[in-house]
Amino acid sequence: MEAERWRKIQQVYHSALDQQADSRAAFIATACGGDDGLRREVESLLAHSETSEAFLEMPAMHLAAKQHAKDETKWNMVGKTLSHYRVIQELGAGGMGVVYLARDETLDRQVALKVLPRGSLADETARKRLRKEALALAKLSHPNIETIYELGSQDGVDFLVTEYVAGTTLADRIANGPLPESELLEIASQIGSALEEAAGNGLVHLDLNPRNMMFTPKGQVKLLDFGLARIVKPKDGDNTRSLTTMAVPAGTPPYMAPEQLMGGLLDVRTDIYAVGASLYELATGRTPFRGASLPELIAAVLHTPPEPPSAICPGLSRGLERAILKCLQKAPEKRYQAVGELLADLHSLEPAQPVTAAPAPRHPAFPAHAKEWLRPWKVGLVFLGLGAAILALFLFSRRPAQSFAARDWVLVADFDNQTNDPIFDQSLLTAFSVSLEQSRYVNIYPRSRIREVLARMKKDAAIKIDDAVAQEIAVREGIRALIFPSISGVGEDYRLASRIRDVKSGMDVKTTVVKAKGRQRILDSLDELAAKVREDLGESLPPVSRTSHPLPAVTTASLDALKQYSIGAEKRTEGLNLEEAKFYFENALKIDPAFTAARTWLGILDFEHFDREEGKRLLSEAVRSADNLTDHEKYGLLAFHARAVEGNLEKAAVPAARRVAL
Amino acid sequence: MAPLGNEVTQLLRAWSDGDQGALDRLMPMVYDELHRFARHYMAVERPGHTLQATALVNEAYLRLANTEPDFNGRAHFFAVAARAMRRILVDWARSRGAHKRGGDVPLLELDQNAAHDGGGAPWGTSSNDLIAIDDALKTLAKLDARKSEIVELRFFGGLSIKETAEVLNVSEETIRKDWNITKSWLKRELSRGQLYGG
Repeated sequence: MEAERWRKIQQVYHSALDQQADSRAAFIATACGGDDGLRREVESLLAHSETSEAFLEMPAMHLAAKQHAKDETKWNMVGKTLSHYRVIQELGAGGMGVVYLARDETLDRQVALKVLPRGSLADETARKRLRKEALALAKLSHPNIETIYELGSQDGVDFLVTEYVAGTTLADRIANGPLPESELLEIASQIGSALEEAAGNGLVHLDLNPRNMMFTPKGQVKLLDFGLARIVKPKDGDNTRSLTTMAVPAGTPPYMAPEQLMGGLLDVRTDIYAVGASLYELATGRTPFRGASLPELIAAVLHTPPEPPSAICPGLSRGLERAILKCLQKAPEKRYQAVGELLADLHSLEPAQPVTAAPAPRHPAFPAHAKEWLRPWKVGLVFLGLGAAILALFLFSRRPAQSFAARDWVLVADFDNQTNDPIFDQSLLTAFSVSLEQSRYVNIYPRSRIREVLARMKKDAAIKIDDAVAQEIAVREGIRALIFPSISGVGEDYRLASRIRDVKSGMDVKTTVVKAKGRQRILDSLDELAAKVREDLGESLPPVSRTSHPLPAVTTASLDALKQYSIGAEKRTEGLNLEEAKFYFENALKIDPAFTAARTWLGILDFEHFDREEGKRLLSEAVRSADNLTDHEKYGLLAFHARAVEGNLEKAAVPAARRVAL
Repeated sequence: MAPLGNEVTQLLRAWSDGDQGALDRLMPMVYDELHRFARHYMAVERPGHTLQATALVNEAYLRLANTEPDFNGRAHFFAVAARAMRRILVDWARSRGAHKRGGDVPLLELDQNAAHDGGGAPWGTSSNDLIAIDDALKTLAKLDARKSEIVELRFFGGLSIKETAEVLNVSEETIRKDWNITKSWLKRELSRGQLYGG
């Protein structure tokens, strides 16, 4: 029975893969004939096939060897001396490096030595992170923040030396159960104090969680791991709020605020959220949000209110609960706006009492110092996809929208489907284009012409029209605006985004986002998005006169050649310095000798201004490969050649007439 | 290398004949190869340089191909070799004692590894992964034994699609399809094991 079902699943799966993306969902529905279980199974497998391309392609032996290489790198360190630090023992390892207990031979004291492995395993990201952490720590001086001693490098090994903090992490403390409220308040107050120091120095930590909080036997809390910390530069004349964004959302997901998960604007309130999540866990033994998968966790963080801590631990005071929940508000505006406000609330709850009888740490002799230090928590692909569109929104929404002239060509790139659902691949683009074209102002560059351009670019007609490809086509074809639509989603919440790029400047000028609750609402939202995009493209604004000549369609597979050509064309149009124009056309032709459009223009320039005979030669050559030109260019060339080179006006009339008729 | 290849062949044969000790004697050779690769990874600055998947198995095979042109013998050899590799590598991963899934968020670690490897490793290198795959393969074997065999040959044995097709005596297209769906299935199976938050 099970075997039969599995056979059926495979059959539908493979047949579905053979279908065009846009007809896949319909095909599955038909093939499953109302068997919802079967359909779900196939769809879920298909969803995983999207992300499993590289999966398992590296043999197990190599995975093991790579792991072993990492092991070796750190084993080799113990007993050795780096600069004047003698490595005593490993304290912890993360994805990007290892933390050792070491002895500073000069000052005769123990230090924590954070080392990146050498060779291919030490990549630039880890290195940058180490430097960033050092720079952040160097700004800070506070009893509740680890102290930096040195950032060094020797024989290609980068290392960071900090104060050695003996103790356990708060994550280890939680493992023994929730903390009593009095102790919790004391810890919270110390964390708050450390955070205030960081915020006062224009820093946000961005990875606050119990693993990065050390608890010493004396009851002192120390914040560690500033590897994700950002400097938020106060704006001129506005020191009240400063913001940053992360190119790639990173952090420890259960403690990340909604804006951090979604790649939004981050400030001290993002850290306040993480403190709230940590305090929640210290008070209840559980993180405020959980999920069976990362998307589920994100959905919970974004939409579900946390269970009140008192529902889990009835003994908790109302005041503390209120403070924690205020930190965990979804909207940053509803949280504490400054660390001081949080501290004031915490202090009003109970006069801070030093924790005199701190329970003995579980592993006093083997401190968990910085165990999680180098764990980068770089957030995965699913995650990246979610954040990217939204991030773009924040990055670009503040720039004024540029309006485009009516009936200017607009190229709509392929939908960037950031969901795992292949149904959106083709369908949304079609719907979106139809919706956009209802405007008489928007002239969508037809797909058929895109295919022709791709053929001239010697590219596969089926290639995905992404940022780079779209930009290239636009430059070749003189298209002024690009639209990059995308869809992302968490559970039933979808976000449709559209980015408009001004081709000439290469800048994104506007990003619009609409939301859709549930799949069945997506098409409506798409219409809404299209309407907004039409408006952004200038439908409601007075058309702006064209400022640049559209480039003729050109034929080269080399972007470099194209660039030279474009500059040449611009110089020629300006008409001020034709020698320069000639220079650029020559460059283009040097890079791609088969570049007919460049040869044509060079020929015309030579013929008219510099070297008549050379011009004739070039033009005759161009005529022989005239099929590499667009029809418009081709008839132009033939007419020019007949008239100027051959002196045959009659002959010139034919292509000239055809050209006009195009 | 010929004597080594010969010895590997004999050990594999002994193991498949029921000599459990043969695997233990094979282990140091596999470890040796693993260390060689590891040194390579530590030394090579630029990723992208590829090595033969498992020289060990291949050398043993070349040895075998001369002495035993019989097809069934070859297929059997590869199946046994891949299984031996699986046992030894999974044991190796276990012995590292790095198997702690608790409150971790391993999926992120996988992606992070992928992101940091500059194209070298498309998938994570955590030894946990080998153990997780081993577990998932046990489930898969109950559902579809041939699919788990394909994973053994491809992933643990390091065989190409073409070689796998030859060993299993089916078309490359069949293997390609089976490999595709099996990867999706395994990927889903592994992602099920993840729990986020505490």
